[in-house]
Amino acid sequence: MAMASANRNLVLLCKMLRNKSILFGLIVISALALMAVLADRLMPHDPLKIDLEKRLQPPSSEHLLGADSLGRDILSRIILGSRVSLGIALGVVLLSLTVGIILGTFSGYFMGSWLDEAVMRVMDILMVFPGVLLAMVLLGVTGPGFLNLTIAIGVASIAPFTRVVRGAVISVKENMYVEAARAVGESTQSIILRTILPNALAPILTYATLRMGVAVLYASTLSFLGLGIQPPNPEWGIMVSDGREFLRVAPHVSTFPGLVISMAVLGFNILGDGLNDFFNPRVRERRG
Amino acid sequence: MLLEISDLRLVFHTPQGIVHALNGVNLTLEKGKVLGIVGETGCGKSVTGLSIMRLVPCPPGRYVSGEVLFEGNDLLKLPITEIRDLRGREIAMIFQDPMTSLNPVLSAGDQVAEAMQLHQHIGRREAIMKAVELFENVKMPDSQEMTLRYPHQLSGGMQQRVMIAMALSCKPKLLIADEATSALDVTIQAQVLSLMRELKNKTGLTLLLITHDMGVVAEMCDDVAVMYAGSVVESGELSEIFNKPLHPYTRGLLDCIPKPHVKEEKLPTIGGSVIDLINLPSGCAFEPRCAESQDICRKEPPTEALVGRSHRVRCFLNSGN
Repeated sequence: MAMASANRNLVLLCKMLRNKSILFGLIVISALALMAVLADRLMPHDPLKIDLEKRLQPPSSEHLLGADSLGRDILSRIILGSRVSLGIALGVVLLSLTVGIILGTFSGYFMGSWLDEAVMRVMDILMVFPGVLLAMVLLGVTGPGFLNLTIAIGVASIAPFTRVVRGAVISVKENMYVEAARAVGESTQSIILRTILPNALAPILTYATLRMGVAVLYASTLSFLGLGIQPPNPEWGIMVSDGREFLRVAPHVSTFPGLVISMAVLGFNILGDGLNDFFNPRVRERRG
Repeated sequence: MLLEISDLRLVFHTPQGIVHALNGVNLTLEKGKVLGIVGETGCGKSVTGLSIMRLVPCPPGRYVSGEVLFEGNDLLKLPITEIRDLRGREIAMIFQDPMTSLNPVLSAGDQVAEAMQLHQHIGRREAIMKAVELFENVKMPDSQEMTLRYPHQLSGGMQQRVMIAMALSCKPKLLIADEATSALDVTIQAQVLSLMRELKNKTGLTLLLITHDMGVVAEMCDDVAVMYAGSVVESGELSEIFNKPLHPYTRGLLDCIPKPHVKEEKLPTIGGSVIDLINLPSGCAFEPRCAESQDICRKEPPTEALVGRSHRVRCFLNSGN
């Protein structure tokens, strides 16, 4: 039995990889993840070592992506920075996904009740503020730092997550098989956990992937503004900010971390798009 | 008497107004018998079935009066935890469209095992083993392999067999089949019906068959109840209803069955359409479509009259008074 199900999973994976968006997204994300995990071994130089003689040095064979305003190796800093960015993205999505699933499921299952109304009105209030602004306010209160940054962006992501989960739950709960589960005598808790959530998972996971990209972007933005990760820790947003003053004389200082941010966000977005197509049979058929 | 429904009245509160879904339904079902409820779309036959399971969402639904006695207990008054315990164990239900009634993320075996795990407090492994047995009972080829399949990997007939296996898993006393064969093509329909009859004879199951197909009724049922606009207009033994239909609506329905030996240009129909359940007429609900309507039909609603041993009819014309 285990063999059969393992086999089925493999078949599913192969089908997924045939989708070019999913394949591309997975390659980009895997590369970044690998970079984060193996950062210690991949870094050619000490990312914190200041060497003023190499200040703003353009890319060379010794420093593949050049050196920044303090002569630190940009490639090494980008590699170590991936840990921060992906770590924050993961933390943000875990936080907002958990809260969003809990709130959204209750809200959707008891659609129209006072509970639903209360949750959705609070979410409406949160949605009034643009995500970055909300995170900025929260960071202003808590102060900068890795954990605070994660929490701030996470809280700012709860509202859209709750809405997506609620919508997915509402569309699933009207299905006949939910009624059939009820007719078998299942409790509300079991219906939610065993019937509704597993069937609502596809759009939720897709959205989670897209939100990873948004989280990377938010983290970089806030760090760029000086509210997130503090120097000298290497973070892509800070690196772009550092190179800003030298954009004319040494464009590489800002450009490379900027490119990496774009690649990461693009990777998550394309993966999310691909998953969306894959999980949506109507679109899948149309594209063959 | 296993099931006794009396004067069941159900309304739905909607933004358009109050929908009178059930207007005094009376039904009795003896142990081991098969009762067929027939009627056209919107006549309240499905809602009656759902009421027995207490699956009608309240609100917007509200029971105005009546009781549903199952082995003497009024199901409408039982607390929800006891109803939940009854569902699947004592009363099971097969739904219309097997395609949408099976959970797409659970394998067929798991789905059948679920009810048994719930009500018989047995482990998953044991439940799956019993599911294989059940699949053999409902004549699934390759029953072992079938338990591993997911709903989308099964044909319509196979899906309906899974539904039946699921419904029978806890050996219920009453099985409600809500249009159980309507979504299947004719050959599969015949197979499923004969399977249901066989299982009924083997286990002494009581069946409540909800359908709009008079052919299915003729083939399967002991008793028939014809519903129109939320009430039973005529009920009785199968032969009585088919041979001596008294209500004009029943006659109309029977006339609509194509007869292979009579050559007809056009099938007879009942004119008009189902009445608006929000604005019920003050008289007989069928009066606007009835060819035999009289003055009295417009003035007051007819009451149910016993005209034979168990033959009841709700009509002024043919009730003998």
